[in-house]
Order: sequence, then structure tokens, then C-alpha cells
Amino acid sequence: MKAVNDPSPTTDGPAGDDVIALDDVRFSYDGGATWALDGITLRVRRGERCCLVGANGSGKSTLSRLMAALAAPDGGTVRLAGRTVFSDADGARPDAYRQARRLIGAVFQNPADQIVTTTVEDDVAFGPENLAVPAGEIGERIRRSLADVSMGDARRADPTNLSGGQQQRVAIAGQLAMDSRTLVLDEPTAMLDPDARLEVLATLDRLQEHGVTIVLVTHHDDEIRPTDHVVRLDHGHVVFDGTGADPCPVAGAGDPAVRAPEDTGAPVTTPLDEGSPFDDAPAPAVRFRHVTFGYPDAEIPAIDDVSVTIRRGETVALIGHNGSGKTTFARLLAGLETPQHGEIAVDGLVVAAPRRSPLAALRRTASAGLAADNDEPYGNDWPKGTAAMSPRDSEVADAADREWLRRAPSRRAGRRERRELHRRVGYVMQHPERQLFADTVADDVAFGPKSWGLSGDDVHARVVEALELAGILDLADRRPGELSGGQRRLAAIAGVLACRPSVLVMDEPTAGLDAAARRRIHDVIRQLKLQGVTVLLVTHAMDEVSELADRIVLFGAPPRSFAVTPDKPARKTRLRGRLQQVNRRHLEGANSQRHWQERRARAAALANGQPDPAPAAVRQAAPSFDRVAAASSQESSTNERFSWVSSLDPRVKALGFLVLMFSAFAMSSWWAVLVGAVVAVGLVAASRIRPSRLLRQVHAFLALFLVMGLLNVFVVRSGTPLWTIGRFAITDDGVDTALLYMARFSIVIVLGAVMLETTTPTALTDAFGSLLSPLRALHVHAQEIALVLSLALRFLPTLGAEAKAIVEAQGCRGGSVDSGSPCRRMRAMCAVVVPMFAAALRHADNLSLALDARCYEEGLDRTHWRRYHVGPRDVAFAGIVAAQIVAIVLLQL
Amino acid sequence: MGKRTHDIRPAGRPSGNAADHSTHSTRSTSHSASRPDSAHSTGVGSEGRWSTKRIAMYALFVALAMATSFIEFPIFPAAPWLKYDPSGIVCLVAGFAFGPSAAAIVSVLGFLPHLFIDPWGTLMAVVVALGLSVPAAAVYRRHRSRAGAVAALAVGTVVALVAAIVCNLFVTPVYAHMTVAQVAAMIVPVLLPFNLLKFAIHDIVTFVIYKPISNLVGD
Repeated sequence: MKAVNDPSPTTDGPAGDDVIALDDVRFSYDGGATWALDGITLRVRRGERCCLVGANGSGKSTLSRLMAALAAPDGGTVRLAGRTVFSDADGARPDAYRQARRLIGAVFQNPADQIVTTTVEDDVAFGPENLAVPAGEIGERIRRSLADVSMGDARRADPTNLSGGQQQRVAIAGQLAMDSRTLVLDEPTAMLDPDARLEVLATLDRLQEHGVTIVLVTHHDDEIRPTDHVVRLDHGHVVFDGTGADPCPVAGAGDPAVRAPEDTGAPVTTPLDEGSPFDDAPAPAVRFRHVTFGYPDAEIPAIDDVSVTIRRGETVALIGHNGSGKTTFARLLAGLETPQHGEIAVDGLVVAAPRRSPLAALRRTASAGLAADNDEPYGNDWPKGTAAMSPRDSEVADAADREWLRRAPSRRAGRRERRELHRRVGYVMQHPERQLFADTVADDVAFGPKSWGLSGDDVHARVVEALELAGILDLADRRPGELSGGQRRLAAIAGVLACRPSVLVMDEPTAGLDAAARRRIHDVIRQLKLQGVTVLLVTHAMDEVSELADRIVLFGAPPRSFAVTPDKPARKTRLRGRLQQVNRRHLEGANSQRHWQERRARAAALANGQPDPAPAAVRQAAPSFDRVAAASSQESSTNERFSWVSSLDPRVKALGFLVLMFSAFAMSSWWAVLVGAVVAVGLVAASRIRPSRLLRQVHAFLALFLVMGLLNVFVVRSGTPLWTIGRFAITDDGVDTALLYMARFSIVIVLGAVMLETTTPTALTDAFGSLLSPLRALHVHAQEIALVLSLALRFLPTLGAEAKAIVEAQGCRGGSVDSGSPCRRMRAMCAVVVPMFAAALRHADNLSLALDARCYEEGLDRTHWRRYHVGPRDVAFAGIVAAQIVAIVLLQL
Repeated sequence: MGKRTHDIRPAGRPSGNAADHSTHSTRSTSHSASRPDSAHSTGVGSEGRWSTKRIAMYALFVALAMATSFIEFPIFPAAPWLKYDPSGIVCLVAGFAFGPSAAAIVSVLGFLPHLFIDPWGTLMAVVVALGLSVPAAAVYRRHRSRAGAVAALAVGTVVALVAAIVCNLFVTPVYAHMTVAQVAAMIVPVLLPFNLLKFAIHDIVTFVIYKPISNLVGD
């Protein structure tokens, strides 16, 4: 089968100039029992864009790995970048593969897992370093490739702080820096929100204008342009190979997010009927009153003065763009965050509230005809007090009360109330299948009921009930690991349902699932509604909203930070207008190809920092791909935190600080402590760190200080007794020793803090690798060990965030390590630890591919972009270290 | 680890021919016996003891050890300054899954972030973690069974107990004005029970979780 059309008539290469040529390629994961790819013949021409499409499991990803020189097939012939890398006669040719891999770049689905260091520029440098590009040239390559993806301003940023779209652009830059003129991208936008998707696509469009060949695996039909070369796969076979619009789209495979709600014909919202049976419920399912919440370090609050009431039995969709506060709302509701202001009540249980307004308290107690007892601490009647108020009361509540709620700091409920809250609220987080831990689905589902202390028979009944509700009773005894993605998601949801929540929050429960799995989850939500469960559904998919939701809570709607749709039919039209506005912004018009192209071009211009983006400006704005040698942009001392200490060679600095810290423990007199204090204060001054930062570091050790101090006070028996407590006498020597030990330990902590504050993780691992390198003579894999350390530091925050999510999710199901019987604690611990290992292994799989794409190999002769030299400052620093040691030794004598 | 054998290739192709094509003298030739293209390998980066896969695995295990080493909580009311952290479990699992050298790497690198915070404590933690995980990994490598795992954990626990107590004898006087004899007096009432409790938690959790994890590793 040959390419039916020539999709890129403007290609400058001669005819037959194929970058990638596959002939009769076969690939099997199970030793030939089934074929993931069977008889694939395919050509990708220089400069064209080849889109690989097809349903999940059709072989797109496998094929993209073969095309990116990351895996070899079982049979056939593969020619990459002009080299035959695999043929039936010769098998895989490592050398040809090695060269091909350098010319063909690969970008994967998960943006964060492709980034290997903690600074953007070092990450981009990693590939060229592996190719042994001279250090002087790497700086220019970094500048050029970051400019190509419009990320020049983020050179020194920490990639973990970037958005998914930005991370994906950095990953692309990492490939461009290796001079890859062909990029194979495996669903690069699958994990991105609509805005970030646009960013990445605009970047690809621009790269292609400059002659880069692009192979794009995608399941978004709107990412395919009319001129693109499209290859559709089905069960490992090519079923279409041609240009532009695909004549045989697979039914149901399209992304529902691109379907406008108008297409469904259903009304956008189904307002509650006047005589809704749920109206009589005693307390609303959820009530937020003037709730404000901001994350620490965030400038603007994630949720600003939000008031919303959700009635029992309603299914409410929470929609809005990324970062508009949907997930924060859900977390507040589940008691995982405490608002700064306002009151949250769930199912009659007050989750967070300020101390009661004196005025409101007076009014309530007066109306109840009870003796006023305003001094009563709020906590005493915490669960009932304010929850007894009906929504109507809250409307009547006077302005002073509202103002009080807005301003007064909120406190969160006590431990018992929070546990009760977890009983009533089920929280299905994003990707809940990542929290599966048990050997069988049934065991996993049983975790919640068991944690709540139910007996064996009750647990079994709950498990069966939840699995039936989720429609996966037949999977009860299967291992979660062998299920499909959709089945795993349903199993995880069943695990939450088994706790029988009266309010269920689901955060994007259908994200990343195929049409069949989505339908099953929709059925579950409908079932829950019939059972009277209140469901809050965070989603980006508008078909889900129109199909399932009674009402919508729209986040991020101007001018206020959020809006609740009114549920009176008369205001329905206005509501629709609003929704469609959301639509236009989020669900990029699949029906308007031209509109989409314009948006892409604009995004490209915007990314270039154009104030007034217009398609015409794109060409000028696009940074030059010409290999014009610009002045090398090697680093100068523009680092904002530059100081005498930060400019030290990290090797000298690390060793010197360690010597200083260890020697501090040898200080046994106040004179020695004085010497140490002078050196430490001098280094703090020379590092230009704000003392408040250091104080915060020391603060964390206060508890340890106290214990150490007490130990010293009680251990030392010499000297004059000051106080006598029972058998123990506290002596002046004891107090003196305690203070001395505290003083020298403070010096150690301050020195450590200065070291860590002035040294980037990259510099630290570089120093570590460099200090380890002499061990290479002893056949120690020094380079690899240093890389392991560097990668570990890079993934530390990623795993930390994941650990937090797992602990919270299991906590919401009643799993708690710090309460209950030892057996229950142990089970709670396993429920956290097993998913953590699963997360580590998942990241490792992705990361190893990313390392391959960057051409890393064992024992490679790499260059180092950052070079360190021991200079006069380092010598001076070493002198200071030596002086302290001499002084301590002399004072000991 | 997990090199799958692939025997569905057209027959008659001489095995080991990859060595003829590999012109890179820096690469180990000890693998020329096995075809580099087995299990879809391209022969680049995925061979040798330090394949990219292995580097990535080690890195994530080290990151996991780092993350868990910061989760500290007291488990022994008599000695609130002695805290339990679950990082030992990661060292043990790494040793079970990838062998003693992996256990050593995770034990050493996993505690490095603490070096500039609490230098002596870090050294002690590294020695104890090595004592726990390396012998256990060595025993388990030879006896890959439930009984082997129990024996491995028992051996590791004994070595680690000795290491922990010896380290305490020398390190505690650095933090408190105590003689070695005074610290020795704490062995039976404090150090022994705390460490026994700590390693018992490590061992039980490792024993319970190792099977589901080994399924994930594909070992």
C-alpha cells in the first residue's frame, strides 16, 4: 500500500525522499499469538505531517515507537532517516538505530514524565550532552530550540511549575536541540486542557513551516488539517492512507468534547420542576456561604466569596476552564481544604465555619426563645448549630451576618466531624484507578466498608451492591492490573460507592475513556440519581452536562469568579447564552475548521509575545530556524540570587559545608561555638539570604531542640542544683550544656540551610557526579548513579503530589494510618504504599522511553554544558573552612 | 530484568550477528551472545546492566525513598525523638525486585537530601538502611519464595538492629552530653524496642505488599 496522494506538493526533497519507510511490518506483544501491527506499509515524506489515527488499541502508539526508532518490530523492513534499521535478513541494526534515533525526535503523552532535570535549560541541554556536542555550542542550541517553541523566557524555570502545555513545548525543545528534523509525537495533547492543546498545536504548525517533518498520533479529529497525510489504523492494519478528511471515521471514537451541545438537540439544562420531591429535604446537600479560599503562595484566591446551595438528589455539573476553582470547590466540600472565610455545610454537617456572628447568634437564640448564651464556645454545638438554618433563613439573614461570614476567619471542623463528613461524602478524584491497591477488585472495593468498621457480612453486601451499581459484578475476583482502563475506573468508583455516600463528588470521571466506558459511567450516575444521591460532576465534556446535569455551576464566568445557573425556566435563555460562550472558549469548534486554524495561528503569535495577535504577524514573529550563528549565550551572572556563596564551585561548596557542619558537632566550649557562629553568620551575609527564610528553617527543628535540651538537662548531674523535680536535679551545668548543644546544632542547621538555599539541585547533582567520577576507575557506574540522583530529585515533587492524592483518596474512604486497630492501620498503610509503588513504576516506564528519545546510553561519553572551575573564591572558602577546624582543634587543647 | 524471549522471528538468522554491526567499542560485548533485537530491542540504550529502563526504575525508587523519608512520625512514646519513617520499605522492595546493588543505591541516595539538614542522622540512617536491605536482598535473590522472603527479612532485621544500636552508641553522644555507657543503658528500655517495632512494621508491610508490586514490576 502506498501513499495515495502526495500531501505536501511543496516538499523540497526529491521524489522518494522518505523520512520513514515501513514495509510489511509486524509487531506482537505476546510472542505472535496476536498482532498489534500486521503488515504495515507506510511512507512519511520529508516536510509533511502524517497523522496516525484510530481507536484505542488499534496500534497507533506501537507504530509511533517503531517510527521513532525506539523499538524494533518482529518482521518487515524499516527504513528511518535514510538508513535501513531493521530487515528480516539482518534483524535490528544497533548502529543504524542509534543514528536514526539522533535524527528523529520523540514526544510522548505525559508531559511531566519526559522532563529529566529541575531547570528548563538543563533539561534541553541533556540531549545535546548525550550526543557529546561541545559545551560551547550547547548554549546556542538551548537558546535556539527554546525560541522555536516560544519558551525562551522560561529558561531558568522549574519545569514542575510549568503548565502541561508549556512542559510539552519544553519536551519538544529538548528534541529540537538534538537537531531532530523529524518529530514523532504520541498523543502529545491527550493530557492537556483545550488552551494548552492549542499552544502545542500552534507550535507544531510553526515548526512545520520551517521544514520539520511531523508524525502526530491523535484521537482528536480537529487536530487534522485538510492537507495532512492521514493514516488510520484498525486492529493493527492500515485501513486508510490518504490526504485530509477521513472517509471512514470510526463510530463513537471521536472526542465528545468537540461536539457542541446544540448537536444533541437536548436542552442545555434541565431545571428542576417546581414541585420537586427533593425540595422538602430538611437541609440542603451542600451549602457554601461566602466561602473564600486561596492556596498558600497564590496571589488571587482560587475561590472568592462563593455562595451556592445544592439540594438533595440533584445532579449538578461543575464546569469552567482549568484553574477556575472547580477542583478546589470539590476539595473544600470533601473537607480536604479549609476555607479562609465563609461557611460550608454538607448534608447538615458543618465542615467549616467562622465563630458564630454575635449578632446572628443573638437573633437565633432570641427567636428560639432560649436563654441567650453568647459566650458558649462555638465547638459545643458545632454539628447542629448553623446547619439547622434553611436556605430561606440565610436569605433573611441580615447584612451584618453576611459581612461577618465574609470577613471572619473560618475554622475547620474537629476530627470526629471530619470523619463523619468522609462517611457522607464520596470523592472520586481524577484518575481514581491510580488508587487501586488490592489483589482483587472485590478486596479493593471492600476497603471503605471495612475501614468504617462494618462486619464481614455487611462488607460483603456492600461490595456486591457497589459492584452491581457499577455494572462490574463479573469482575469481582479479577486482578485490577489485568483490567482495561475503563474497567479499572469503574472498579475505583465502586470502591467509593461502597461507602454509600449521600453526596458524591466526581472529578472528570470520564476523562481519557473511550465511548463505551463513558456510557457505563453515565449509567452509574443516572442510577445514583434514582437512588437519591446528590452528585457533583466536574467535567469538560458538554454532552455529559446536557445528558446528566439538573443544574450547572459555572466557574470563572465574568464578571464574578463564578455563577450559579438560575433554575427558573424564565431565565433559561440567558443561561444558554452563557453556556455557549463557555462552549466557544473551550470546545474548539470542530464545525469551523477555519476558525480553528485562526485560533492556532493566533496562539502561535501570542506565544511569541505579540501584543495584538493577527495571523499575518505569525511569519514575522516566528523565530528563525536558519542556522545563523548568533553570539553564544553562555550564562553570565544575571541570576537574581547571585551571591558570593552561590558563585562557589558546587563541589568545593558541598564538601566545605559538610566539613563545617560535621566539625560543628566537635565544638565543646562557648569559644568554639563563637568561632562557628562567626563563620556561619559571615556565610549567611555572603549568601544574601533573607534571615527570615533561615529562621523558618530553624523553626522546624524547635521540637527536636526541646527534646535534646531536656535530655541534656536531665543527663548532666554535675554542677550546682538549680531545681529539684522528684529524683532529678537540674543543675547549672546541665542548663549550660543544653544551651551549648542547642547553639552548635543551630549552627549546623543554618549552614545546611545556606547550602541548600544557594545551590540548585542541578549543581548539587553535577557536583555529586563529579566527586564520584574517580570511582569510574573502580568500575563504579558513577555517571549513571549521578543521573539516577538527578532524576530522583526531579521526580520527588511529582511523587509527593501523587502520595498526597492517594492518602487523601484513601482517607475519604475511611482509611487512616493514625487511628484504629493495628490491623486496620496496616491495611490503610498498604492501601497507600501499593499505589505509590505503582505510580513509581508507571513514571519509570515513561521516563525510560524519554531517556531513549534523548539518546542516553550506558557508559556514554557525554559532554557537560555547565562547567565548573575552581577559582580564587573557592580557595578563599576552603581557607575559611580550614581556619574553623584549626580554631576548634586549638580550643580543644 | 524481564528480558522476554522472542522466538517467532524467521528461522535461520544467525544469532549474535548484532555484534558484527556494532562498531561501538565502548559498549559491552558480553551481550553479543543474546541478540540485541530480542524483545523489540533496537540494541541501543536498552542493553547492559544500566539500561535506560533500569536507570528510570532506580531513579523512581530513589525518589520514592526520598519522599517517604520525609514522612516521619513517633511510634514509641518513651522516646519521642526516635521517629519512624517508611523509607526502609522502599529499600527492601528495591532489593527484592532488583537485587542488592539496587538496595544499596536506594539506601544511600534516598537519604542524601537529609545530608545538609542533619548530617550525623543521615549517616546513621544510611548505615541502618544498608544493613536492613542489602543482606535481605542477597538472601532473597537465592531463595525466591515466601519462606525465602521471611528468612531474608529476618536476616536483614538482625543486621539492621545491630547496626542501629552500634550507631546510636556513637551518634547519640553527638547530640546529647552523654557517655557511651549512658547510651548503652538505654539499649534495653528504649533502643531495642523502638528499633524492633520499626523493623517489624517494615517487614510486615514489605511482606504484604511485595507480591502485588512484583506483579507490577513483571519480575
